[in-house]
Amino acid sequence: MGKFAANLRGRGGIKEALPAHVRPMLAQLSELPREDDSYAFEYKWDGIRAVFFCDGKKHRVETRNLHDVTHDYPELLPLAEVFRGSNVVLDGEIVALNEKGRPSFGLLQHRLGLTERNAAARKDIYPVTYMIFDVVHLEGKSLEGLAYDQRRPILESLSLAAGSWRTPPSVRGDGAAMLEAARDNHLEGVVAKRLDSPYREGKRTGEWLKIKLVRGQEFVIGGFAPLSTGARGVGALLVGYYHEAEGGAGELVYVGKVGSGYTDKDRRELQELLEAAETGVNPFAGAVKAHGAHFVKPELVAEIEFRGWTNTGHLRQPAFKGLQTDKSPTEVVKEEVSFVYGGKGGG
Amino acid sequence: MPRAIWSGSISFGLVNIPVKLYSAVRDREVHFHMLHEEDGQRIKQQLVCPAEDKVVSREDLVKGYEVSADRYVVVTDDELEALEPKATRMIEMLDFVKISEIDPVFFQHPYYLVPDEQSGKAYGLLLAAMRDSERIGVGKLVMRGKEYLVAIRPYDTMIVLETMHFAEEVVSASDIEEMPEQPEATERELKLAGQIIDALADSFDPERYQDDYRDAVRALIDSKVEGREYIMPPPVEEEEGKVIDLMAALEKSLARAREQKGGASRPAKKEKAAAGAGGRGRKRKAS
Repeated sequence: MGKFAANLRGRGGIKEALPAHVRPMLAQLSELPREDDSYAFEYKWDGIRAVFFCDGKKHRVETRNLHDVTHDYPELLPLAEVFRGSNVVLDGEIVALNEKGRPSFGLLQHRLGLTERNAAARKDIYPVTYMIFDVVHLEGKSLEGLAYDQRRPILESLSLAAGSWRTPPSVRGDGAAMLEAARDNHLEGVVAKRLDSPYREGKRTGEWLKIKLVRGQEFVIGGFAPLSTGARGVGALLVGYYHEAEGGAGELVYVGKVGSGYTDKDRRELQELLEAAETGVNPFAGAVKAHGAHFVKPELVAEIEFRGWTNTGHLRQPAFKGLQTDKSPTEVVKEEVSFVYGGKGGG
Repeated sequence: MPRAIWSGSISFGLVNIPVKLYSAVRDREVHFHMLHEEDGQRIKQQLVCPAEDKVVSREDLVKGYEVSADRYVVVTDDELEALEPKATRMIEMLDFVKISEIDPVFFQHPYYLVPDEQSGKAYGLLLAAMRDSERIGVGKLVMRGKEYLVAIRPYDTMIVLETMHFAEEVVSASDIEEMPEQPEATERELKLAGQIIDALADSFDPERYQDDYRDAVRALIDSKVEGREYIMPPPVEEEEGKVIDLMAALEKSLARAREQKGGASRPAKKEKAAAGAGGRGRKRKAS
């Protein structure tokens, strides 16, 4: 029996092998659920989702699309030391805090290795913190079948709060107050998790809900317009999402030009990346009105913040937040807000 | 492509050839950082004045030339700057000499000279002329506030610039005191030595020689990286401080939000958090 066995007292039986991969459970975009006593609320962290595996000797860090990013985050090496001789699978979000101490997806870009130059910049210090919010496997036992309010005490008993990792709070009920606290501290929003929900790998069942303060989602880059000043750099990105269709992604729907939110460096780097993907063929369904548009192969995904939708289905006041390396373009669909008012949702 | 370290032009009679200078050799040494063994932190250097045992900042330093033991004359940066050769951006060719006349001991560091796009013809002409005459150019160049004696010579399809030592920098053989007598060899001995050399005679193939020590060090490092034997400095303390502050700020905001929502009547709910939320004494603006 390993050193964390006490956490699993009474759960005897056969040892289960550490899973090779775990696709993280996903949250559905929503308003605050009305019956909030059925939920635990957590803060929503603006970073990249990461699953941490440790087999007692070696550790591995995987993104939601199962990319191995172990070597990108050496900060998590000491976390493997914590689990030396036992085994574990943790779920959480890797975040980088800005100078005001708030999570910044833009800052995390420096660690994503988008371009050669960025890879070199990683040598500069952009430290990250792993916000751990779930435990999926421990001591040869899968915990996926346990309800959230059984998994959470196990997670807390591991006391994962040191160095570059933390177990951020989980609060029963009180969603509105949590959302207020998130607003107060410029976080993205909150995540509501049904107390009775098991861990469902790779599923977006509605048992986990994300409530965002700022509208924002990923969009596929289908083209760009150069800077009107004639300087080198992207003036605006032309973005869209895939219309969901049976048997995979349908057509790419254009949602508008994103002209703000860039640093000069972003503009130049995006131009370099996009020029390499230029095709001259409009990837969007339908014509696109943009002066001097350059069309590209729709393979890059950008995180965009915006203030809602216009009647014509375009983004209102969109701003670029960063590139998302861990989402394949065909996964990008329009995120619709679902309203959950009590009831035995999920399932 | 390496970065050009200087640009200017070769001045050769009435012709000016704009060129850029690139180092022709690169450092392949394995470099190490010095770490504190206990915690893996990079150590830093400090300048200390032994008289007061006090750390001295760089601004408080002056240059002193030691005239005799513990006696210095101070020279200011301004004084030195006034003496610096003017940056002319020109490689001025003074003489063309036979290459066999310059012993390799004079050569310091090789650079490639690369002409700009329009100057290929003039560059090629100079290259061909040096090759035909079997002479190489000797001249002067000012770079980084320093004057260099240089030679330019053909190498493959390029002109190579060698920075050279000035005559007074080169130690003459007679200055080496430990040099023993060299009694003259006999005809027979000379013949025998000649035969040994003939037996080993070959053409120079630089690919045949490797830096075995460096390769071994690289292999050692690779095996350690593979086995994840790295040591890590502790997390940047500032970052951990930020996380702790954020957790504390969230806790405070949550308490206030509960209060505003008429929390007094509502029983306080137990908050579960394993996060170390101890304040650090730093105030954080709650907006």
